Amino acid sequence: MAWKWFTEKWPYYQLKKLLLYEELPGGAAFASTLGSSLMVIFTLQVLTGIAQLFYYVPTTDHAYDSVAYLRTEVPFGWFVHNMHYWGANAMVLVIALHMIRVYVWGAYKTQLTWLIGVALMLCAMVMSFTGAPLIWDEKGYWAGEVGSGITSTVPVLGNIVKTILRGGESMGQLSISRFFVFHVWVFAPVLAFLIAAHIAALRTTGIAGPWDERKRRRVGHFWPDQAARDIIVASVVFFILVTLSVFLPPPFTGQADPLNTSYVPKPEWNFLFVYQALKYFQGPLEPVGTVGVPTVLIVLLVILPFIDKGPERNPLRRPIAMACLFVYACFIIAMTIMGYLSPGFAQMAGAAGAPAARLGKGETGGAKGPAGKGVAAGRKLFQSEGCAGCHKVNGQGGTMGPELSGATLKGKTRKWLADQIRNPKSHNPNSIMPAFSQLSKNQVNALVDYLMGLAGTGGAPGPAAKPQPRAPGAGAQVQPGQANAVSAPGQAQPSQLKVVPPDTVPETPSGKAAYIIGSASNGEQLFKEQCAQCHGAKGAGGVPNPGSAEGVVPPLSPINKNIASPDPKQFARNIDKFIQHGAIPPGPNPALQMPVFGDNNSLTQPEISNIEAYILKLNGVDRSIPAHPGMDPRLFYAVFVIAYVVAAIVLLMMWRNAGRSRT
Amino acid sequence: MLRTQRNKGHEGRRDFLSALVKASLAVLGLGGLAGLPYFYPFSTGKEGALEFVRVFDEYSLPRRGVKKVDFTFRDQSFRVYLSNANGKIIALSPTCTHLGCQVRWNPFKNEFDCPCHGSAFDITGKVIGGPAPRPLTRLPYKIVNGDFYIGVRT
Repeated sequence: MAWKWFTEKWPYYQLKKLLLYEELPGGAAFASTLGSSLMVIFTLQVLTGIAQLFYYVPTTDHAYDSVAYLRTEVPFGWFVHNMHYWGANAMVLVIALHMIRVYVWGAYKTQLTWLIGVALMLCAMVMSFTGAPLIWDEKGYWAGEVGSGITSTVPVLGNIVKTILRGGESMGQLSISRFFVFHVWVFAPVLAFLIAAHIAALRTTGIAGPWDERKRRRVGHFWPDQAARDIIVASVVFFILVTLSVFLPPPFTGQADPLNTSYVPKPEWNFLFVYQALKYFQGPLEPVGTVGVPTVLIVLLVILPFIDKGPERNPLRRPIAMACLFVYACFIIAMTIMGYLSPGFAQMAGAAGAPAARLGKGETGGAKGPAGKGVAAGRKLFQSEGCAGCHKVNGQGGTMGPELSGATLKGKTRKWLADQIRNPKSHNPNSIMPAFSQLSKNQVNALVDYLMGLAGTGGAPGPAAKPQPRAPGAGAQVQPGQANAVSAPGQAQPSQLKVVPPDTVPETPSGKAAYIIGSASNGEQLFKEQCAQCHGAKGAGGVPNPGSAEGVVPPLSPINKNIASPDPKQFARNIDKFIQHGAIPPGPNPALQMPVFGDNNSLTQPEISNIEAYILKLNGVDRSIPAHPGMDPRLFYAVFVIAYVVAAIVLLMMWRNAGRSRT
Repeated sequence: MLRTQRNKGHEGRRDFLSALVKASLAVLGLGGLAGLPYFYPFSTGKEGALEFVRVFDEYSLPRRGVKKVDFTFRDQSFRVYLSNANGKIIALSPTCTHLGCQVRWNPFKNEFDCPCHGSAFDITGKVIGGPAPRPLTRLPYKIVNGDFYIGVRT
């Protein structure tokens, strides 16, 4: 009744007729369903995008947390977010397929529809670029940083464009605001408008249909013939998106941390070809790679319908056009694959993370002095025995013990060093350095060779054996970091550290890191650098701690069951207290103690959250598991698949029935 | 009589109104261009103020090689690489001059490597490889009464 009133007042039927009752030259075809699939994906993006806005906060200090909250605490939040992520990927991929289809069919000769389509493709790329930094995780942050930095390579205007994009010189709150406004308020509406214009242009010029003149004379209808095929293909796309969202959630890459060097940034797959092109053009030629190559690729697409104006559309009779497509597609695919497979510059350069494998010949490292034969072996031992966990060499390593490069070892004899390694207490009864008495004579010699090399060419004369104790309270504004966390054995500001048995959770409050969902894979690298020397590789333990009640450093895998918890939040809070504030193990005179990592900023809170995620993973707990998924994802998927199959069968039967009743 | 006259005027007024709308849009568009600085933030004088922060005493400076120093100042985290090439201390910013990634010191090759696009800098911050256009930024520092201060901008 109300419906009738509405359709009388408003041109519903006219609009429906205009939109749906279109005649198609050549009839319906599965080949022409990709456009409508894109419409469905776009609609899904709008819906999941709006849904995320209910929880998302576009600020540097809350963006990551708000997305993590959405994904773990909001019922079905994980599904909404994952659908948006996979929808974005599908959008770019299906646009590429759609364009290839249009090209092969020669349908770009309608000109205007093609041009708007190219604009749509660019708009989708901009959406992809502006969407990633909104999460403000490591991946998105560096994608935004490098992506906006690339604009600065444009001659003359580059720096202005970069500043306008970022809202300042460097990435910060204004950047996230701008990416947010571009993504949600500028380019999403532009995309919607262009889609409407694309369809209007298509309906004005009519669809191209098959290239064969005779086939084109056969007339089909959009509604219901083509629409049915569209729905089938779109539902398959939807099925794939749901499957990916359930089984392949995008990884948590940890909160954005501008100082983190353990994360190796690499762009999203759809920008890998630019990343790869960048490698071939360096120095003054760089704009060629960053701006030139993409511009040429876009210009080729834009001028295409004006170059190829011939009426022929059969791909078999357009060998040049087909060859061009082949070259163009091969270029992008090959560059993408090469960019994907390239190890990343960090690994190529042999970063500090895996030095042991790169030792041996051709070293130009610190060891320049009277190098014995064992220098390379000694450096290897220095890494594998965990010396670097406590001692810095050339700026890399832990802070428990004194730095060993520079003047610290100057004037020390081989015997002194060998004794120090075998039995540190022989020189200083209060030394907390563990005794490495298990090493063979040859191994100790190799280590001494290496250390002598470090001491050989010291710089200016300075205080030899011990670094100067730091005056407490000096420089009150500064919270010192690793540089002077614990400068020498026995000077570990004992008043701040509390004695905590390894099976007890301290009373102290946990820090901010406990509430950040970290990245276990990032944490693994940090764990190797910061924790493995005392807690063992992968937290397996077994490192002796003489003078402590336990006799060994507590293992972290498996961790003491009083500290572990099946609830990832509780688990993270428990271990966070140790990492933030440090602890002294009970015992008469423990040689090793848990250093402070959080209170003195020797690790950033995002870094600590990554280590926590890794320790949880070692104990079989996923830090990023949704606490309130709404429904178990696997159960959700089972229900979805059953509903999908049943609906498909029922609808197919009804479809056939409906066809029979009218004929 | 009156009606025909009105209809006659219609055509001319339609054209006039169309021209008026187009002209207004053009004026608005040009006005919008003039508003472009709205999107281009200028830094305030306060932002660029240089302040010297005490990091540690001068004995903690590297005798040779490179030392990474992290510190916080007014709730902001800073990282500085202090290098000592030939007895002279240089304070280097870790931000790659190419696209702003964080370089790291590679003690095995004696160079700063950038993980993003492979720029490499020697111990003094000079470019020795990759796309970086400039050497690493040198930060001012001073040593007063045995204390080492680094100049930062907050």
